[in-house]
Amino acid sequence: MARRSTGKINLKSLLLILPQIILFLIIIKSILNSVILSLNVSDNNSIFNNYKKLFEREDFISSLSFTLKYTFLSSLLAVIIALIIVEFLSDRESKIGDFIMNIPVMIPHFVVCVFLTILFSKTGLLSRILSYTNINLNLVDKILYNQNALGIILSFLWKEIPFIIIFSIVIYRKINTNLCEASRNLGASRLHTFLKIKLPLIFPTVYIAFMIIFAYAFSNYEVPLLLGPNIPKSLSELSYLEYSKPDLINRNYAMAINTIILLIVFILVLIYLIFIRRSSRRNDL
Amino acid sequence: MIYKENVLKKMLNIVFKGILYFTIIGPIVLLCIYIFVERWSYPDIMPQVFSFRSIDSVIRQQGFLKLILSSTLISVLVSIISLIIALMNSWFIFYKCKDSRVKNAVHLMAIFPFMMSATVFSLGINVDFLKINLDKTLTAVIVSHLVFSLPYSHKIIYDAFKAIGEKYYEASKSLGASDINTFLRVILPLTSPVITNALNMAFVISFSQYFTTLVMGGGNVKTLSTVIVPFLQSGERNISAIYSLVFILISGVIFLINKMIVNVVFKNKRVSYF
Repeated sequence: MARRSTGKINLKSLLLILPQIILFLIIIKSILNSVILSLNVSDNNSIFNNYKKLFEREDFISSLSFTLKYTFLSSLLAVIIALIIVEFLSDRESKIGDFIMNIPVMIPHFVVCVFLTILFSKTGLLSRILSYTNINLNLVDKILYNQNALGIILSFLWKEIPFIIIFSIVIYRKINTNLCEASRNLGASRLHTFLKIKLPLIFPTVYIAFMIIFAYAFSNYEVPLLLGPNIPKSLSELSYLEYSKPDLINRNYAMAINTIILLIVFILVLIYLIFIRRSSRRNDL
Repeated sequence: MIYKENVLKKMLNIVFKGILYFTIIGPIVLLCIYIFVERWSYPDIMPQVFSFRSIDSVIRQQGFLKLILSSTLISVLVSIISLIIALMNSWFIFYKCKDSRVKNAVHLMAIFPFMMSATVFSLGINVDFLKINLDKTLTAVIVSHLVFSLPYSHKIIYDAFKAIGEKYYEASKSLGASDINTFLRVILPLTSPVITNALNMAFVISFSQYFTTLVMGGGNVKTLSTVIVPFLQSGERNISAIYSLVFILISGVIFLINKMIVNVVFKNKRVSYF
């Protein structure tokens, strides 16, 4: 009954979402372009020839593993550290604290790169301080422009930890007041309460935040360009390099790399959707 | 015993917060000092000579003011457009559409770019823009910025509409108000606390787009971010530090202006629903 009356949508009100639909179609077209061009091969090769060639290239494989490594590490660390901070700081609301937490969200990544170069480069503040203390750890050489991607991870962490905190703190405070007091009253330890009650409740929100920062870090161009090593390059850098080459066949490689970037992000989304479906089924029962 | 434990806990909390806030504010303070540095020979911790020289040289650069103005204007425009689209989306989702599947579809469409990578989008769509001669134009840059700033404003406005609920809309409609009046006099004032957030967020996202501007603008459209990154790349730390500070200052000024405008427009209509 209720359903029948809901079916029709006023044509005039569809105009409201027209800009949104156009933007969405543009995005879809960009994806389609990437996929179609990546399958564009000369006559008698299989349509996955571009991908096959890519996976035979050593620089692509090292780029892929390098990019995956720093993205996973930075996103996972950001989530864990953010959860720890939220657990200890969500007790009291403070306006100043919330304001300070908002600052990194408003500062772009390349400005964070400026911070890191001032602090950690070879003539940076850290190396000056270390030169006074006679500690020679070779620490400074290992942060920026290094294959361990420490600088890249640090720059992502500085921005993404506050992002996750802001993203999840409202829900966290809600959980904190209602359920956790009950749990603590009944004698559960803080860790136990955290693992059994808070974590399952906050997990969907945190996973969404994780997906957003993963997708962002995975396809970020400027941070690995500014703080990463020359070799291996990040996937975005490699893709843009291929794209800028004059030969059109290289553009197809760029599109193949882009399609792989998209696929990996979408796998994450798929995991989320499966998880949501399963947990909602559990709730139904 | 309990008292002692509490004091210890408080101390730990303060230390913990102190470290946390220091890691956030420290670098910005450092940046502010760094732009005045003229000479800083290596092992010294304190710079030897401070001056305004490098700031002067950046400000005197040709086209500096034009660069700042144009890139700020682009981002302000993007933030306003994305606010309008976000309001239209949420208006449709909450008041004009009763089918929950359509609602979900629109919402998913709006937040989809969260998962979209800037590289994939810019390189992918540039192929089409080249064909219709839209590459290297302001329009292309604005469209690409919109794509990435809209999900943020949509999320903020959507949450606000969700908190407002349908009761105000229905009350207003049943009292005979038109849609436009309901929007301007009832719903918009109710969303005013988050409108500043939505504008700010969209502004920052647009202002800090580097790769999309680089590809879609193709060198014709310059923004602050496409200027800063090459300086950093070539190791001119001092100049990129100054530009970064200019970047932060402009963002701050825009945030203040947004807040002031919202305060003036929605004077005496303070609401809180969270």
